Amino acid sequence: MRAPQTFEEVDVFFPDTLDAALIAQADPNRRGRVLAGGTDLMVQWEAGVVPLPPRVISIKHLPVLRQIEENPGMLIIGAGVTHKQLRASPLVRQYLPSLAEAAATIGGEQIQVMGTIGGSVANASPAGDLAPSLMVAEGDVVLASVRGERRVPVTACWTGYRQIDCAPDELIVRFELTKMPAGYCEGWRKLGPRQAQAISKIMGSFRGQLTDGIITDFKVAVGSVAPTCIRLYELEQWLVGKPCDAATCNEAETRARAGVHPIDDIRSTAAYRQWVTGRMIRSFLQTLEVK
Amino acid sequence: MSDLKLQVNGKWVELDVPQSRYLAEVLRYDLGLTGTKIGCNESECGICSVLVNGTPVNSCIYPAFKAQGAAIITIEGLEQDGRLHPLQQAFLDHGAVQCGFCTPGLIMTAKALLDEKAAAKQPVTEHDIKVALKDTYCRCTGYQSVINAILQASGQDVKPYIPKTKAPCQTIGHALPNPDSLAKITGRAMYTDDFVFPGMLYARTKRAGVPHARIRHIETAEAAALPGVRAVLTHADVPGRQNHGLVTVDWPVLCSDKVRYAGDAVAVVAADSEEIAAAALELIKVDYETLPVVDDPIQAGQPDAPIVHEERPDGNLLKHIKVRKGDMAAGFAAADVVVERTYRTPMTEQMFLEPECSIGVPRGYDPTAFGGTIDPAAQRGVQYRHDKTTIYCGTQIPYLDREQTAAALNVPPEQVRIVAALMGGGFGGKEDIAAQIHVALLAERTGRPVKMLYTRAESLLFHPKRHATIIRIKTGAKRDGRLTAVEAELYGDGGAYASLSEKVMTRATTHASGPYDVPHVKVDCYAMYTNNTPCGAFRGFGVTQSCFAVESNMDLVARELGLDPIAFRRINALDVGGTTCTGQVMRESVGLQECIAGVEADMRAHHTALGEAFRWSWSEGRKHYAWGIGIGYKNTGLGGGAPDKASAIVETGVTDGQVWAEVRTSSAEMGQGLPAVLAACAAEELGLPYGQVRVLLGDTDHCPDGGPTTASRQTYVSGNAARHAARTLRARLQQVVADHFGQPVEQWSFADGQFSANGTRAGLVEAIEWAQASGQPTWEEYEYWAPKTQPLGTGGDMHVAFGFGAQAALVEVDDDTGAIKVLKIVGAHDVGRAINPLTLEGQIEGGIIMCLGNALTEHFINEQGQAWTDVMARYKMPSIKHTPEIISRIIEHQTADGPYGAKGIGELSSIPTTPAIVNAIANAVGVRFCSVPVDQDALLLAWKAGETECLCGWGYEH
Ligand code: FES
Ligand code: FES
Repeated sequence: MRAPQTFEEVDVFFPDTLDAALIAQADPNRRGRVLAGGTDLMVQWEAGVVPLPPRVISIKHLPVLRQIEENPGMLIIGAGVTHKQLRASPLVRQYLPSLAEAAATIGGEQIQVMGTIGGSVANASPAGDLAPSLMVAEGDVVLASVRGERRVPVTACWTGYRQIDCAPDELIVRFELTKMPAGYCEGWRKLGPRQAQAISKIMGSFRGQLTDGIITDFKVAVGSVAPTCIRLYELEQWLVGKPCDAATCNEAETRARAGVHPIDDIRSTAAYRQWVTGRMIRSFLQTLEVK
Repeated sequence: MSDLKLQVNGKWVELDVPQSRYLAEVLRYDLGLTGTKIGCNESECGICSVLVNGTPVNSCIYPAFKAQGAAIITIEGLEQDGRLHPLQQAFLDHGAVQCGFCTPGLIMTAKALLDEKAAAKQPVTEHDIKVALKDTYCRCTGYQSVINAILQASGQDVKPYIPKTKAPCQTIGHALPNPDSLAKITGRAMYTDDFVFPGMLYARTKRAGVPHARIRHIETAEAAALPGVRAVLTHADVPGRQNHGLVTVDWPVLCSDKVRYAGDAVAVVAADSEEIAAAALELIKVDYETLPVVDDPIQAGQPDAPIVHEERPDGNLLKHIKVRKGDMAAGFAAADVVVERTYRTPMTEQMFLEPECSIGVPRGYDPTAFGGTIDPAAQRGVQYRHDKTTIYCGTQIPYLDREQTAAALNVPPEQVRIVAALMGGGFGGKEDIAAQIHVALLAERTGRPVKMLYTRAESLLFHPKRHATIIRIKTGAKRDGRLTAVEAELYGDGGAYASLSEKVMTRATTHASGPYDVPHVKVDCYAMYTNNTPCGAFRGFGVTQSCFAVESNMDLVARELGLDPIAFRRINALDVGGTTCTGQVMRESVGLQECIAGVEADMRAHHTALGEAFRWSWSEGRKHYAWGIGIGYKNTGLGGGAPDKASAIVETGVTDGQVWAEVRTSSAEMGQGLPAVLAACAAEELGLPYGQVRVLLGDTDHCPDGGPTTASRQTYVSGNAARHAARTLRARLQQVVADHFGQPVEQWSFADGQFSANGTRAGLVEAIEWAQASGQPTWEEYEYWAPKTQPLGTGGDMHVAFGFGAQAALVEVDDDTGAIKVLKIVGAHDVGRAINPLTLEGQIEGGIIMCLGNALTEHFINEQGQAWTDVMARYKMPSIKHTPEIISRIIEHQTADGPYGAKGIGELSSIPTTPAIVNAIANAVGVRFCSVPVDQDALLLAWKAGETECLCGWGYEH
């Protein structure tokens, strides 16, 4: 079949239930590209960056995908939850504060109400705003198909540049993320705001614990410095057990720079990204210290 | 097709549309609710926002069926019982409406915010507004008025920001909304794409796609055979002149032998739908022999460079422009300090929010033949029988559109009519021919109206932009701070066609020694052809570029001399008695010293208010702060010996006992507020309330020629034409009154809308009625000629007047990232006279923000003649969150011949901001940036490496 030239030719499916959606996705002849909020995909189609799919399926309206719930250890967030819901939810603000913070900075009001966590994750952009917070929270992405449910750790769900571990018949249905334990703190930063032409921002999140001046746990993830959002595991291990002081900050800054290898693409220079990554780690450690 | 049920503005509607239709299309094209605008179709600009169950969505990418059963509110649904919504009223009061194209989107997004805050019983803060609206763009206002308007609408007591000006006359000098603003805030305003003619076809253009190639063959048969295609035209179908062009006629209507840039038009198609037309484009096959590409103006001058126009005598040189004053050797010999640098500015994009749209209506078009109706009262539009080839479009120069279209059609100009629709911004980018000729050709071929709406991508690809320039400038000064000499060499990238390059680069050249009295000046400018997108007019007209270079060098010289940058400028600033580099002696209206003093006072006041002494720079933690200053000037009017005239008609009449007046001229309104100026001039002269004056612009059958809307000239020339027409008409009415009473006219006088003599009085109503009864015309046409100017190189007055301005920027630079924030701009502008302080301030704020974009974010990127910037998302323009606090002072050094003393302002505010910001950055972190936009990557790396200068940011190859 010839690829559609305009959106007019695309077949759009609005299933009434999740099951109806899964059944459609199981059939190669009915399967459609998922439209969550559509903010990213539509833009890419319009711009001709990716070819139009013959069919799309819109699932954001399904109520089961729009809930935020909790159990003792986890926060369970439906894939259709919007940025605005994330930003406003008391549960998210309490247990995944950096995710709430990240969501709050995405776009103006129109994008806030359209864009969803599932869409953002599925888009698999290395500069996805929510990715670092998910990576430090840890937990699972839950995918569903007529074959049943499958779980993938969020730290392993992106397999390459704009690639995600999700079979053609699967839909992302929810995220089960580890709540931030008491005594921990989180932070999120996006550096290099929308400034000179086309420089993409660098975003990062951390979750850590400081006990009597000693770093007892530290997780940090950075986006936009590699083909996918990455955790800086080596740096994390190095930090545990260190005092949170100026010497540690200095060394961590240097190590963070050495630990990322951005490609020098059209959007920004590698040296700049390395520099900024170092500064970000420093600011995270300072946050940990004051909180 | 399936059933879509929506509740739109309180009314249920049911439609049978494809599942894939977007909400914006349903609203605009299926329901005729054209108040919702489309600016990008890529979820970037936000102006298509409507409310779906109370939440604002970008309707351009919102599948209509997602809104199944939902309540939709559009701009048309805001008025309640004929009363404006508080937001609409506030936008009007604050002058937050200029071209109006973004207004529905801003208002709808703001409404969602106000509703949400009201429900939560929370006050609305400026921060809330900046967060909610950060993806809703406005290219005209600069956002400060928008923020104030939203705050007012939320119930806070926020007054419109209007700088102090001279005491007003009856109408002149009062802050009044533009007469067309009401239509814009209610969604009733008609832009070109809002017109739908019965029987209308949709057209698309086949663009070259390659920057330089010889055309071997064009094959259109397959496209023509596609069902639904009504016409496919190529160069062979252009009956008349093959090229168009504003100055040099070198731009093919449709290319025949070669293409010179990727946006060149090769064929046009009209079809029953846009989709069919787009599909037909794919079927047109063009066989190209690709040629080597020249994409840089310096390279273009090399002997081995590929030649863009083989038929021209000077290779790729479009024009060599020279300024000579004094003796350079003597000038530099006298200097104690000489500073020389090379500066680079990029190609930038006007990014008016309304993409180009034209509708051609064929001669003899009868809407009833296509199921339409005729309204006997209509003089234009969809219910009107057209006896001429008529083009509806947004244009800055209606009469030149007419002339160029007629030449291509091979008919006399009188057989073509241009009807200017409202324009969603122009900024210079709507001076050249876009699709005007194409739709005329297609309409005449098919016998039907034909609409051509450019996509954003096509608009970016096609239209002329601001010239990328390379400016080497050498400045000499004595110890005492007096400038002795300036030498400059400029290379301007004119792109593939001449457009206005010659004029723009002339302005860059003649302003290349800045608003200073410099005894010895030599400037050489080379405007070059390349295979890039053509460059032409963009607010600032070349002076934006040269001012950046001049003012950067001025700071460097001041530093070398150990002088305060402000004091140094004041020593050299032009004043009455001074001489420009072209040899023009300033006789009057030079308020520059006062502008600089005003800015300095406001910089100091900033610190005084904080209880501290003034300082140029300081640091707080990882933030570094500094002020920077820039001053500039800009000619008003065409000048250079070009005949500069405008005509206007003022007509009066009485309807239901009330006098009205109408001003008509072809001059264009693109949001800058011309109708407000014209209405004020007529109201003042006729003693009428402002609200009783209508303005009709841009219809070549009803409006006399106002000339091009360019060079900040319309207030001056068309304002004068309207003023004189109204005066002459008033004199005639005075004669009528005198005759009526059988008294000599000299005994009569006019004041407050009344004629009186010896205790006898007569109002305008009587005067008009008596005139009509005696068969005398109650209208007057006046052709205003600006004072004669001299061509460059002959000395004397090259321009009738100059506007002057000074601005200072307070910036914050982040130590971690190099991120730059402009916190405050203080500006003072000598505009001669503030005819309408509200619309004037709108021009100032909008110009400043546009120029802030020029300094920090904007760069239209070409790579080997191909536009990398091919979607709006790849062009960063300032959003509401970039908006600094703006403090504005108006200086009024009246100019004798201007209307009430006024000069132009349209471009002036968009000139000194760039150097003010770049100078501030240098003061903050010690790194001087010699190119814009200031690239924070390069800045940070240079800064951390301890360098003091950064020659080139990202995106420059040289
Ligand atoms: S965001 Fe919809 S038109 Fe620009
Ligand atoms: S008034 Fe906002 S874009 Fe023109």
